[in-house]
Amino acid sequence: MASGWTGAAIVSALAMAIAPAWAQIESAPVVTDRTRATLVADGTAAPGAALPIVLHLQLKPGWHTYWRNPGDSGEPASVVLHVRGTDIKGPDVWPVPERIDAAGIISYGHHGDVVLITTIPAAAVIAGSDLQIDAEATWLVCEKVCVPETGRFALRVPVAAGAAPAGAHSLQKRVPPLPSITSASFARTAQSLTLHVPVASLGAADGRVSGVYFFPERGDLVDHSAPQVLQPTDNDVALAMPVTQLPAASVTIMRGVLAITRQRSDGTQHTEAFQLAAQPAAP
Amino acid sequence: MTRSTLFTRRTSLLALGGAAATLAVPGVVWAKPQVGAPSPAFSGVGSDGKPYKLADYRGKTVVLEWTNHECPYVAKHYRSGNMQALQKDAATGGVVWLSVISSMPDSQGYVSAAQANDLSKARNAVPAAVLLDPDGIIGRAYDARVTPTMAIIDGKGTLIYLGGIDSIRSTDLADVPKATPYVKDALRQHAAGQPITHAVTQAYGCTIKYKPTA
Repeated sequence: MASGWTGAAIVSALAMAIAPAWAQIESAPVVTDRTRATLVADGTAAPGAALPIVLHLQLKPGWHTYWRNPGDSGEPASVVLHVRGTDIKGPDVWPVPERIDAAGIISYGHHGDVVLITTIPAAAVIAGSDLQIDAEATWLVCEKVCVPETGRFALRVPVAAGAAPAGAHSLQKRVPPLPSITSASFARTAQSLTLHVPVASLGAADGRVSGVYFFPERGDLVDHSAPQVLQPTDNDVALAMPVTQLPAASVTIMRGVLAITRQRSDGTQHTEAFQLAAQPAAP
Repeated sequence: MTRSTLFTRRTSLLALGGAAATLAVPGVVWAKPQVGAPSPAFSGVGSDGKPYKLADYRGKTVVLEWTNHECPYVAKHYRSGNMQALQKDAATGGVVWLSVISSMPDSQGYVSAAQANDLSKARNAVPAAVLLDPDGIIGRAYDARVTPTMAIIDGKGTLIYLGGIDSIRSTDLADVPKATPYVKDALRQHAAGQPITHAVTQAYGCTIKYKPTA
C-alpha cells in the first residue's frame, strides 16, 4: 500500500509540473439553488503582465443576471479583489448583453454561462511570489423573481517567468475583444439621441443591415424600453433613440455595444457586436 | 435642477408637442407622465374595498409608491424601516400616501385585499391606502417600470417628482443611510415651498410584473 500511495503522489506532482499552457485554476464553488459561482484564473501568471480574473456564473435555465448597464431593472454584478493589500473593483470586461423584455420593460443581461472579468494590473504581478487573491462578489439573478446572491472566493496563483500569455485559457476566450468603431458620432435633442455610424466602419460582412441595437454603457441617457429606430442611408447607419426625462448629463464620448444584424443573400440573419465610442457631432 | 429650469424645459417640450409626428423618433408615447405637467388621473379600489381617485385629493400632496413585497429592493426599504418612517412622516404632515400593487394575478407581489391588509399590519406600514391594480392601469399610466417607483403630486394635481426612492441601486440594507433620500428630500422641500433639487431620478428595482398588453 505504501508504494502505491507514493506512486500516486508522484503522478500528481508530475501532472502539475507538465500542466499545459492553458491550464486554469478555479476556486471552491459557491452554489445556490440557481447558480454555481467560481473564481477562475490562468494556472500561472507572467510577471509584469496584467492578469484577468474571471467570476464564472453558471445560471440554471431561465435565470439571468445583469450587464454593466442593467437597463430598466436589476443591478450589475460587483467584484472586489483583495490583492497585496489593495482593493481592485470590477468587473471591467463584460460579455455582449442580451435584451431582456418583461411585458415591454427592457433590461440588459446574460443567461447561462456568464464570464465576468476583473483585471489585476501588471504592477501587482511580481516574479517570485504567489498572488494570493481573496474576493467578494455580489450579483442579482432573476427569473420570474429576483434573488440577490453573494460569494467569497480565494485563489492562489503562482507567478513564473515564461508563463503563457494572460487570458489564454478557455473561459476568457469566450469574451474576446470586440471589433471597435471609433468613427461614429452622436447628436442630441431634447427628445432623442441619434447615433451615426459610417457603413464603412462595419467591416466587409455580407448582407444588408436589417437590424441595429445600441446598448449604452451609461444608464441615464436613453429610454431603454422605448424602440430604437433605424434610419439607414447609403453611407451611414443612423439609429434614433428617445432620451430619458432625467436631467441631461454632459457626455463627451458615448460608449456602448452596437449589435448589427445583417440579412444575407441566402436569407439567414447574422448578428455581430462592436465596441462603439462615438464623438459629439460637429454642430 | 431648479424648478424654473424645469418649467422652461417643459414649456419647450409642450411647444414641440404639435410637431411630434415629424420628429425623428416615431413610436414615442407623448402621454408619458411629465414632471411639471398635470399628473395622470387615476381611479382604483383600495384593499379596504373603498374607491380612490386622484381628483379627490385637490389641495393635498399625494405620494404614490409602487410596491411588491417579495422584491428584494422593496424589502430593503421595509426591513430597514425607511419606507414606514416616510409613510408615518407623510401622515403626520397631511400628505396622502397611496401604495400601489400592479403585479398581475399569480405573479410576484400580487396579493388579495385581505393579504394586502395583513402585509401592512405585519410590516407596520401606514399608507393612507393600498391600491390594487392587477390590470396595471395605474402603473402603465405613470410609466412605472420597477418596484419601488415613487411619484409625488402637488395640491394642484401637478406631478412634481417621479423616480426612485433614493440614490443607491442595491439590495443592501447598509446602503439606506448612505443614499441621497430623494423622496424624503422632495417632500421636505415641497412642504417648505422650495424647489425640488432632484425632481426626476432613476428608479431602480424589480420589473413590475404587468399583465401583457397584447
